[in-house]
Amino acid sequence: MLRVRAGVPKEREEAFNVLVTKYRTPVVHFLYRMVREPALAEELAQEVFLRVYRARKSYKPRAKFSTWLFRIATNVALNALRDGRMRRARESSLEGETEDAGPAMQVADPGGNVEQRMLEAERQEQIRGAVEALPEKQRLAVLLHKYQEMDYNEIADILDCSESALKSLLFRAYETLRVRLRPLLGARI
Amino acid sequence: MSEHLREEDFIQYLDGRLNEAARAELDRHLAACADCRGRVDELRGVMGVLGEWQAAGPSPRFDAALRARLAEEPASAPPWFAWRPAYAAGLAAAAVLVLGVYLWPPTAPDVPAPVTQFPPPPVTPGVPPVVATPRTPAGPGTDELAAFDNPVLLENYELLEQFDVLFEPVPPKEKKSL
Repeated sequence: MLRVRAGVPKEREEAFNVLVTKYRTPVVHFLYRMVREPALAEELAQEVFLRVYRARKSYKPRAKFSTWLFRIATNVALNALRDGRMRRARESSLEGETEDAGPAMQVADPGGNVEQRMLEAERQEQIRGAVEALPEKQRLAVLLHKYQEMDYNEIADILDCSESALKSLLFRAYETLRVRLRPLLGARI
Repeated sequence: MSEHLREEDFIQYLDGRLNEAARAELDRHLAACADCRGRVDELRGVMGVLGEWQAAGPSPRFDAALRARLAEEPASAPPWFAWRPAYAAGLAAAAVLVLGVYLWPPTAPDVPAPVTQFPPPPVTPGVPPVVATPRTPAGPGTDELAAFDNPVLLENYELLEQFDVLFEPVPPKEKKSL
Protein backbone atom coordinates (compact mmCIF):
# COMPACT_ATOMS: atom_id res chain seq x y z
CA MET A 1 0.00 0.00 0.00
CA LEU A 2 1.39 3.31 -1.07
CA ARG A 3 1.08 5.85 1.72
CA VAL A 4 1.61 9.52 2.15
CA ARG A 5 4.11 9.36 4.95
CA ALA A 6 3.45 11.60 7.86
CA GLY A 7 7.11 12.10 8.57
CA VAL A 8 9.21 15.20 8.21
CA PRO A 9 8.08 17.72 5.62
CA LYS A 10 10.81 16.82 3.13
CA GLU A 11 9.83 13.16 3.20
CA ARG A 12 6.20 14.10 2.83
CA GLU A 13 7.05 16.23 -0.16
CA GLU A 14 9.01 13.44 -1.79
CA ALA A 15 6.17 11.00 -1.17
CA PHE A 16 3.76 13.47 -2.69
CA ASN A 17 5.93 13.81 -5.80
CA VAL A 18 5.98 10.04 -6.16
CA LEU A 19 2.20 9.96 -5.97
CA VAL A 20 1.82 12.67 -8.59
CA THR A 21 4.22 10.90 -10.93
CA LYS A 22 2.47 7.58 -10.47
CA TYR A 23 -1.12 8.75 -10.70
CA ARG A 24 -1.25 11.90 -12.83
CA THR A 25 -1.87 10.03 -16.09
CA PRO A 26 -4.66 7.72 -14.83
CA VAL A 27 -6.31 10.63 -13.02
CA VAL A 28 -6.20 12.86 -16.10
CA HIS A 29 -7.50 10.00 -18.26
CA PHE A 30 -10.37 9.40 -15.89
CA LEU A 31 -11.28 13.08 -15.70
CA TYR A 32 -10.97 13.53 -19.45
CA ARG A 33 -13.46 10.72 -19.97
CA MET A 34 -15.76 12.35 -17.46
CA VAL A 35 -15.66 15.93 -18.71
CA ARG A 36 -14.32 15.53 -22.27
CA GLU A 37 -12.46 18.83 -22.21
CA PRO A 38 -8.68 18.28 -22.06
CA ALA A 39 -7.90 21.62 -20.44
CA LEU A 40 -10.62 21.21 -17.85
CA ALA A 41 -9.58 17.60 -17.17
CA GLU A 42 -6.06 18.79 -16.49
CA GLU A 43 -7.23 21.60 -14.25
CA LEU A 44 -9.43 19.19 -12.31
CA ALA A 45 -6.59 16.70 -11.98
CA GLN A 46 -4.50 19.43 -10.39
CA GLU A 47 -7.37 20.15 -8.05
CA VAL A 48 -7.42 16.48 -7.08
CA PHE A 49 -3.73 16.54 -6.21
CA LEU A 50 -4.13 19.80 -4.34
CA ARG A 51 -6.82 18.18 -2.21
CA VAL A 52 -4.53 15.25 -1.57
CA TYR A 53 -1.80 17.67 -0.57
CA ARG A 54 -4.09 19.58 1.76
CA ALA A 55 -5.24 16.36 3.40
CA ARG A 56 -1.74 14.91 3.69
CA LYS A 57 -1.61 15.31 7.45
CA SER A 58 -5.03 13.92 8.17
CA TYR A 59 -4.95 11.04 5.68
CA LYS A 60 -5.50 7.70 7.37
CA PRO A 61 -4.74 4.70 5.19
CA ARG A 62 -7.99 2.82 5.80
CA ALA A 63 -8.23 1.88 2.15
CA LYS A 64 -5.87 1.67 -0.80
CA PHE A 65 -4.48 5.05 -1.72
CA SER A 66 -5.85 4.71 -5.25
CA THR A 67 -9.35 4.18 -3.87
CA TRP A 68 -9.09 7.39 -1.84
CA LEU A 69 -7.58 9.26 -4.79
CA PHE A 70 -10.29 8.21 -7.23
CA ARG A 71 -12.98 8.97 -4.72
CA ILE A 72 -11.62 12.53 -4.63
CA ALA A 73 -11.37 12.55 -8.43
CA THR A 74 -14.97 11.35 -8.69
CA ASN A 75 -16.20 14.11 -6.38
CA VAL A 76 -14.20 16.73 -8.24
CA ALA A 77 -15.56 15.54 -11.58
CA LEU A 78 -19.16 15.45 -10.39
CA ASN A 79 -18.82 18.92 -8.90
CA ALA A 80 -17.48 20.22 -12.19
CA LEU A 81 -20.31 18.61 -14.11
CA ARG A 82 -22.90 20.04 -11.77
CA ASP A 83 -21.58 23.56 -11.45
CA GLY A 84 -21.47 23.98 -15.21
CA ARG A 85 -17.71 24.19 -15.58
CA MET A 86 -17.76 21.52 -18.28
CA ARG A 87 -20.29 23.47 -20.33
CA ARG A 88 -18.34 26.68 -19.95
CA ALA A 89 -15.08 24.96 -20.85
CA ARG A 90 -16.69 23.49 -23.94
CA GLU A 91 -18.08 26.85 -25.01
CA SER A 92 -14.75 28.45 -24.38
CA SER A 93 -13.04 25.74 -26.36
CA LEU A 94 -15.44 26.18 -29.26
CA GLU A 95 -14.79 29.89 -29.28
CA GLY A 96 -11.08 29.19 -29.50
CA GLU A 97 -10.31 31.01 -26.32
CA THR A 98 -8.09 28.24 -25.02
CA GLU A 99 -5.65 28.42 -27.89
CA ASP A 100 -3.18 30.27 -25.72
CA ALA A 101 -3.55 27.89 -22.81
CA GLY A 102 -0.34 26.13 -23.71
CA PRO A 103 0.59 22.90 -25.39
CA ALA A 104 -2.23 20.47 -26.00
CA MET A 105 -2.59 17.36 -23.90
CA GLN A 106 -0.99 14.20 -25.15
CA VAL A 107 -3.07 11.96 -27.38
CA ALA A 108 -1.54 9.09 -29.27
CA ASP A 109 -1.30 9.67 -33.00
CA PRO A 110 -3.70 7.21 -34.63
CA GLY A 111 -1.56 7.13 -37.75
CA GLY A 112 -2.93 6.18 -41.16
CA ASN A 113 -4.22 8.41 -43.90
CA VAL A 114 -6.76 11.20 -43.58
CA GLU A 115 -9.75 8.98 -44.34
CA GLN A 116 -8.70 6.39 -41.80
CA ARG A 117 -8.19 9.06 -39.22
CA MET A 118 -11.63 10.48 -39.87
CA LEU A 119 -13.21 7.05 -39.56
CA GLU A 120 -11.27 6.45 -36.39
CA ALA A 121 -12.38 9.79 -34.98
CA GLU A 122 -16.00 9.00 -35.82
CA ARG A 123 -15.73 5.62 -34.16
CA GLN A 124 -14.22 7.17 -31.06
CA GLU A 125 -17.01 9.73 -31.02
CA GLN A 126 -19.62 6.97 -31.10
CA ILE A 127 -17.96 5.16 -28.21
CA ARG A 128 -17.61 8.36 -26.24
CA GLY A 129 -21.22 9.31 -26.93
CA ALA A 130 -22.49 5.90 -25.86
CA VAL A 131 -20.58 6.02 -22.58
CA GLU A 132 -21.54 9.62 -21.94
CA ALA A 133 -25.22 8.81 -22.42
CA LEU A 134 -25.11 6.33 -19.54
CA PRO A 135 -26.59 7.40 -16.22
CA GLU A 136 -23.96 9.06 -14.06
CA LYS A 137 -23.32 6.16 -11.69
CA GLN A 138 -23.19 3.59 -14.47
CA ARG A 139 -20.74 5.77 -16.37
CA LEU A 140 -18.50 6.10 -13.33
CA ALA A 141 -18.66 2.34 -12.77
CA VAL A 142 -17.64 1.63 -16.36
CA LEU A 143 -14.80 4.15 -16.31
CA LEU A 144 -13.37 2.78 -13.09
CA HIS A 145 -13.89 -0.84 -14.14
CA LYS A 146 -12.92 -0.77 -17.77
CA TYR A 147 -10.31 1.97 -17.92
CA GLN A 148 -8.84 2.07 -14.42
CA GLU A 149 -9.15 -1.71 -14.01
CA MET A 150 -10.06 -1.40 -10.37
CA ASP A 151 -11.29 -4.26 -8.24
CA TYR A 152 -14.98 -4.55 -7.47
CA ASN A 153 -14.48 -3.69 -3.81
CA GLU A 154 -12.56 -0.52 -4.70
CA ILE A 155 -15.19 0.69 -7.14
CA ALA A 156 -17.97 -0.19 -4.73
CA ASP A 157 -16.16 1.83 -2.07
CA ILE A 158 -15.80 4.83 -4.37
CA LEU A 159 -19.42 4.68 -5.50
CA ASP A 160 -20.64 3.91 -2.01
CA CYS A 161 -22.54 0.75 -2.87
CA SER A 162 -22.25 -2.97 -2.24
CA GLU A 163 -20.21 -5.22 -4.50
CA SER A 164 -23.35 -7.03 -5.51
CA ALA A 165 -25.03 -3.74 -6.45
CA LEU A 166 -21.92 -2.74 -8.37
CA LYS A 167 -21.93 -5.93 -10.45
CA SER A 168 -25.57 -5.34 -11.26
CA LEU A 169 -24.77 -1.73 -12.15
CA LEU A 170 -21.95 -2.83 -14.42
CA PHE A 171 -24.10 -5.44 -16.11
CA ARG A 172 -26.82 -2.90 -16.89
CA ALA A 173 -24.26 -0.44 -18.18
CA TYR A 174 -22.58 -2.98 -20.45
CA GLU A 175 -25.94 -4.25 -21.65
CA THR A 176 -26.89 -0.71 -22.69
CA LEU A 177 -23.54 -0.28 -24.38
CA ARG A 178 -23.93 -3.65 -26.09
CA VAL A 179 -27.09 -2.40 -27.78
CA ARG A 180 -25.78 1.06 -28.58
CA LEU A 181 -22.44 -0.08 -29.89
CA ARG A 182 -23.64 -3.16 -31.75
CA PRO A 183 -22.99 -1.46 -35.12
CA LEU A 184 -19.33 -1.20 -34.19
CA LEU A 185 -18.99 -4.84 -33.24
CA GLY A 186 -17.15 -6.71 -35.90
CA ALA A 187 -16.82 -3.56 -38.00
CA ARG A 188 -13.25 -2.76 -37.09
CA ILE A 189 -11.73 -0.42 -39.63
CA MET B 1 -26.05 -25.77 -14.81
CA SER B 2 -29.37 -25.35 -16.56
CA GLU B 3 -30.30 -21.83 -15.43
CA HIS B 4 -29.21 -18.86 -17.46
CA LEU B 5 -26.33 -16.75 -16.28
CA ARG B 6 -27.13 -14.15 -13.65
CA GLU B 7 -26.16 -10.51 -14.14
CA GLU B 8 -23.09 -10.71 -11.94
CA ASP B 9 -22.03 -13.98 -13.55
CA PHE B 10 -21.59 -12.24 -16.90
CA ILE B 11 -19.31 -9.58 -15.47
CA GLN B 12 -17.22 -11.91 -13.36
CA TYR B 13 -16.99 -14.44 -16.18
CA LEU B 14 -15.75 -11.82 -18.64
CA ASP B 15 -13.34 -10.40 -16.06
CA GLY B 16 -11.96 -13.87 -15.37
CA ARG B 17 -12.68 -13.44 -11.69
CA LEU B 18 -14.48 -16.73 -11.11
CA ASN B 19 -12.86 -19.67 -9.46
CA GLU B 20 -12.13 -22.72 -11.56
CA ALA B 21 -15.19 -24.70 -10.52
CA ALA B 22 -17.61 -21.83 -11.11
CA ARG B 23 -16.07 -21.06 -14.45
CA ALA B 24 -16.28 -24.68 -15.57
CA GLU B 25 -19.95 -24.75 -14.63
CA LEU B 26 -20.67 -21.59 -16.63
CA ASP B 27 -18.71 -22.96 -19.57
CA ARG B 28 -20.93 -26.04 -19.58
CA HIS B 29 -24.03 -23.85 -19.62
CA LEU B 30 -22.67 -21.61 -22.37
CA ALA B 31 -21.89 -24.64 -24.50
CA ALA B 32 -25.55 -25.62 -24.34
CA CYS B 33 -27.25 -22.18 -24.32
CA ALA B 34 -27.00 -20.12 -27.49
CA ASP B 35 -28.73 -17.10 -25.89
CA CYS B 36 -26.23 -16.75 -23.07
CA ARG B 37 -23.33 -17.56 -25.37
CA GLY B 38 -24.38 -14.88 -27.83
CA ARG B 39 -24.74 -12.36 -25.07
CA VAL B 40 -21.34 -13.17 -23.62
CA ASP B 41 -19.76 -12.84 -27.06
CA GLU B 42 -21.36 -9.45 -27.64
CA LEU B 43 -20.44 -8.18 -24.19
CA ARG B 44 -16.88 -9.29 -24.78
CA GLY B 45 -16.94 -7.46 -28.08
CA VAL B 46 -18.29 -4.30 -26.45
CA MET B 47 -15.54 -4.36 -23.86
CA GLY B 48 -13.04 -4.64 -26.69
CA VAL B 49 -14.61 -1.71 -28.54
CA LEU B 50 -14.56 0.41 -25.38
CA GLY B 51 -10.84 -0.23 -25.18
CA GLU B 52 -10.40 1.74 -28.39
CA TRP B 53 -11.44 5.00 -26.74
CA GLN B 54 -8.29 6.94 -26.21
CA ALA B 55 -8.07 9.55 -23.51
CA ALA B 56 -5.91 12.62 -23.47
CA GLY B 57 -3.06 12.43 -20.99
CA PRO B 58 -1.42 15.21 -19.04
CA SER B 59 0.26 17.92 -21.06
CA PRO B 60 3.98 18.65 -20.63
CA ARG B 61 3.09 21.68 -18.53
CA PHE B 62 1.05 19.69 -16.02
CA ASP B 63 3.79 19.40 -13.39
CA ALA B 64 4.78 23.05 -13.63
CA ALA B 65 1.16 24.16 -13.33
CA LEU B 66 0.63 21.92 -10.32
CA ARG B 67 3.80 23.20 -8.68
CA ALA B 68 2.61 26.78 -9.21
CA ARG B 69 -0.72 25.99 -7.58
CA LEU B 70 1.03 24.21 -4.71
CA ALA B 71 3.22 27.25 -4.15
CA GLU B 72 0.09 29.28 -3.53
CA GLU B 73 -0.97 26.93 -0.75
CA PRO B 74 -0.43 28.17 2.80
CA ALA B 75 2.67 26.56 4.30
CA SER B 76 0.90 25.10 7.29
CA ALA B 77 -2.75 25.87 7.28
CA PRO B 78 -4.16 24.48 10.48
CA PRO B 79 -6.92 21.97 9.96
CA TRP B 80 -10.37 23.05 11.11
CA PHE B 81 -10.22 20.90 14.21
CA ALA B 82 -6.97 22.51 15.31
CA TRP B 83 -8.42 25.96 15.79
CA ARG B 84 -11.84 24.94 16.98
CA PRO B 85 -10.90 24.18 20.61
CA ALA B 86 -9.08 27.48 20.98
CA TYR B 87 -11.98 29.32 19.46
CA ALA B 88 -14.42 27.49 21.70
CA ALA B 89 -12.25 28.28 24.73
CA GLY B 90 -12.22 31.91 23.77
CA LEU B 91 -15.98 31.98 23.44
CA ALA B 92 -16.32 30.21 26.79
CA ALA B 93 -14.09 32.82 28.40
CA ALA B 94 -16.14 35.60 26.93
CA ALA B 95 -19.33 33.95 28.17
CA VAL B 96 -17.87 33.58 31.67
CA LEU B 97 -16.85 37.20 31.62
CA VAL B 98 -20.27 38.39 30.55
CA LEU B 99 -22.03 36.20 33.10
CA GLY B 100 -19.64 37.32 35.81
CA VAL B 101 -20.32 40.93 35.12
CA TYR B 102 -24.06 40.39 35.05
CA LEU B 103 -24.07 38.51 38.34
CA TRP B 104 -21.74 40.93 40.10
CA PRO B 105 -23.49 43.00 42.80
CA PRO B 106 -24.61 46.30 41.39
CA THR B 107 -23.07 48.21 44.28
CA ALA B 108 -19.37 48.10 44.85
CA PRO B 109 -18.23 45.96 47.77
CA ASP B 110 -16.63 47.73 50.64
CA VAL B 111 -13.21 46.23 50.01
CA PRO B 112 -10.04 47.66 48.57
CA ALA B 113 -9.75 47.37 44.87
CA PRO B 114 -7.60 44.41 43.85
CA VAL B 115 -4.36 45.08 42.11
CA THR B 116 -3.88 43.28 38.88
CA GLN B 117 -0.25 42.52 38.12
CA PHE B 118 -0.82 41.20 34.63
CA PRO B 119 -0.51 43.97 32.09
CA PRO B 120 -3.68 44.72 30.25
CA PRO B 121 -3.98 43.28 26.76
CA PRO B 122 -3.07 45.62 23.98
CA VAL B 123 -5.96 47.70 22.89
CA THR B 124 -7.14 47.12 19.40
CA PRO B 125 -8.08 50.38 17.74
CA GLY B 126 -11.79 50.65 17.49
CA VAL B 127 -12.44 47.81 19.90
CA PRO B 128 -13.34 48.77 23.43
CA PRO B 129 -11.23 47.13 26.14
CA VAL B 130 -13.10 44.48 28.01
CA VAL B 131 -11.09 42.93 30.81
CA ALA B 132 -10.64 45.96 32.97
CA THR B 133 -13.60 47.95 31.87
CA PRO B 134 -15.70 49.09 34.80
CA ARG B 135 -19.41 49.03 34.44
CA THR B 136 -20.84 52.21 33.17
CA PRO B 137 -23.96 53.97 34.28
CA ALA B 138 -25.53 52.82 31.04
CA GLY B 139 -25.93 49.46 32.74
CA PRO B 140 -24.24 46.09 32.63
CA GLY B 141 -24.00 44.23 29.42
CA THR B 142 -23.18 47.13 27.17
CA ASP B 143 -19.41 46.94 26.93
CA GLU B 144 -19.23 43.35 28.08
CA LEU B 145 -20.83 42.10 24.93
CA ALA B 146 -17.85 43.50 23.11
CA ALA B 147 -15.91 40.54 24.51
CA PHE B 148 -17.25 38.49 21.66
CA ASP B 149 -15.71 40.91 19.22
CA ASN B 150 -12.42 41.29 21.03
CA PRO B 151 -9.88 39.19 19.15
CA VAL B 152 -7.13 40.03 21.62
CA LEU B 153 -9.07 38.54 24.47
CA LEU B 154 -10.15 35.51 22.52
CA GLU B 155 -6.74 34.76 21.09
CA ASN B 156 -4.93 35.19 24.38
CA TYR B 157 -7.44 33.32 26.46
CA GLU B 158 -5.15 30.42 27.28
CA LEU B 159 -2.40 32.76 28.42
CA LEU B 160 -4.68 35.06 30.30
CA GLU B 161 -6.45 32.34 32.21
CA GLN B 162 -3.15 31.25 33.79
CA PHE B 163 -3.02 34.55 35.60
CA ASP B 164 -6.64 34.52 36.62
CA VAL B 165 -6.91 37.94 35.14
CA LEU B 166 -10.18 37.03 33.57
CA PHE B 167 -11.62 36.21 36.93
CA GLU B 168 -10.40 39.24 38.83
CA PRO B 169 -13.24 41.30 40.19
CA VAL B 170 -13.90 44.35 38.15
CA PRO B 171 -12.53 47.37 40.01
CA PRO B 172 -15.40 49.38 41.40
CA LYS B 173 -15.93 52.75 40.00
CA GLU B 174 -15.24 55.54 42.44
CA LYS B 175 -18.39 56.94 43.90
CA LYS B 176 -18.93 60.50 43.13
CA SER B 177 -19.91 62.63 46.06
CA LEU B 178 -23.34 64.03 45.65
